[in-house]
Amino acid sequence: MGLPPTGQESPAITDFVLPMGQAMVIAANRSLSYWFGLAQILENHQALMAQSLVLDPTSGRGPESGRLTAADELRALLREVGELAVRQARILQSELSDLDESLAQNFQQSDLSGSYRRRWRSKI
Amino acid sequence: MNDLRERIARWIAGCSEELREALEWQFLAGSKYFRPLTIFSCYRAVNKGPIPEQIMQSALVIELFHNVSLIIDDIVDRSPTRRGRATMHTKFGELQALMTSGYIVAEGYLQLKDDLAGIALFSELMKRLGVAECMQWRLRRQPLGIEDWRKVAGEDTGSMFEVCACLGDRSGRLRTFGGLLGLLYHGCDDVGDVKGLAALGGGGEEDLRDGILTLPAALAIRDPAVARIFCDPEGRNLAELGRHFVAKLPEAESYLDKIAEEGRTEARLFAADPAPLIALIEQTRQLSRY
Repeated sequence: MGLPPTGQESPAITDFVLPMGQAMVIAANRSLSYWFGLAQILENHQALMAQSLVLDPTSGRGPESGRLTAADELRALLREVGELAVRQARILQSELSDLDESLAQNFQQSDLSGSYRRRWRSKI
Repeated sequence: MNDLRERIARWIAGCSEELREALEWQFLAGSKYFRPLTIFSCYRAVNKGPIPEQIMQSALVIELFHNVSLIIDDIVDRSPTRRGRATMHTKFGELQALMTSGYIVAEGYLQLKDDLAGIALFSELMKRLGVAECMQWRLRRQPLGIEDWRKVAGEDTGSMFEVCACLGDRSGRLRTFGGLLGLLYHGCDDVGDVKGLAALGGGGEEDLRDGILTLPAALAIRDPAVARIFCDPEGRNLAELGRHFVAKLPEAESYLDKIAEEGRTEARLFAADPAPLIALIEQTRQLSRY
């Protein structure tokens, strides 16, 4: 057991450790964005639900109306939380796919014979 | 769009003589071609270069299938006119309208030739439109909310534009954008109808009469007194109900602004060039503002 000679570490770091680090930064960013978005959604809906549950004496709306509005707000909140999770996952997929693409391009640079050059790009 | 118009005319010229007059009546009346435009814009948002043949074919077929949905809607709603002209069933009778719509669907699939992904998407569309129409009818005159409206509209117009987006970008990246565009279109149509506009091709009397859950209706029936009028199986006090819907127009417009913003965000996040998609959003948003 032991590390390989120092001279052979550099390509391994460039080829694998660096992209892994980049992937972790991407994942951490997405995670942060998700929690930030979640906090925003909760903040928006908390205020709206509280408003709808308070009886408005000027409009004369009864508590039944407020309950209906609050139920709609709660359902909107659940939908938005779900949509946020899916959107962040799609962005994560897209960003990781870009990283994957750049890795594939880097690896094929050493192949100088044009006939084997990678010509396609990831669709995602 | 000129190319598409010519393709439609050529297609009609090759159809059975028995149905040709009805097809000309339906297709050569001046369409907005908004669904083909959505396909082209979604293609442009992720690709460069000229529009390929497969995308042109998809645009032709979406226009065919869209017209099938119009013919059926007009029969179900008993609408005598559309865009200021007699509807197909009014002019040619229900039998011919129904048979022509079946003929158009079969022709649409033939036009797709070997585009298997396109065939799958159009099949998805026809299934979802059928389900949405039944769901909308089952849920009429019920005290439901905005979230229910989103579900119905998302399956109805939303599925149409979702499929348009998928036909254009062919990767599924813009599917959510398409759904939001359809939701926006449906909502603008609802609001435009209440405003009594002809800009989108119809009035709102049928929806009001049938107790269909439109966006202004979903907002207005949060008030239990309005919900009671809306749910009345005899459909009394429609004029009063209409006034309550009108009172909710500012709220409906601001809800549509929110959907438009969701669409813009989606375009910026997932399109290589969001400009054509944002233009679609702006164009759609204007439909309720005339």
